Amino acid sequence: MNDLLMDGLLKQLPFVKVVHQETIELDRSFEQVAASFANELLLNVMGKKRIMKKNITLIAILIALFFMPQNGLAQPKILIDMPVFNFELIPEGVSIAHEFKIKNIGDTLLHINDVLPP
Amino acid sequence: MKKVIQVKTDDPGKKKFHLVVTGPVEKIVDILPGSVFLKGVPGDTLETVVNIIPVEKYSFSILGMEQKGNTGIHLKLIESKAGKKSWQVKIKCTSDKAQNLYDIVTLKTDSLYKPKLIIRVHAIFIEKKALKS
Repeated sequence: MNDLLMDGLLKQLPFVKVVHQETIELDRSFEQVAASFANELLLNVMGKKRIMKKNITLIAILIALFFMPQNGLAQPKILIDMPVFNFELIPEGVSIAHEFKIKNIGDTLLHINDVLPP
Repeated sequence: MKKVIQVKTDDPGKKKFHLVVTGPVEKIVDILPGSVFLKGVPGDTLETVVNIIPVEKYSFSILGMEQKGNTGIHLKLIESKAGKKSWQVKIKCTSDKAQNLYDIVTLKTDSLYKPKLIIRVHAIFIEKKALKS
């Protein structure tokens, strides 16, 4: 009954038809909005997971770089303040002693492989 | 005097570097000549004198002399009686055959800096024919 009336009205009054159609469209769009909202929510959650995954990967790389010295980056570095020892006048036959201080300012262990006396 | 010590490391920027010890050293004695080299034929007596003159500032006395043991090399220590304190070591080498003689002479001193003075003696006896060629 209502449908028949509505059809008659729609035939006679184009305005009502438009309103009716718009109402229907509004109903549809509500569903669509709800669906799209749900989609967006899902995507956000997934996106956050992705961002978290990215962050964890980045932190792991930084930790690895910090704690695991690699050949190309970490190396010993020698620092010698005074490589020349200049002594005062001494008579021949006197023995003198001197300590040369060798410092390692690098980031790995320094090895003295050989010392060749004069 | 300059002494250079070479150090090798695993620092890629300084695999090899030098440490230097340098400074002035004063003589305390003149030994002339410092080592002896004599050459002759078997039957010859090869002779020479080594003079030992202490520097006045570091004056010392020679207490004795030691020879490592070559019987062909004969030594005599003589103290100079005139003027400055000095000594002479007279060296005589004899051999009846062609041979090489070598000895190390050690002079004991009362010096704080040099309690031992060393003189190396070489004597070579070669046959006349070998000498000519």
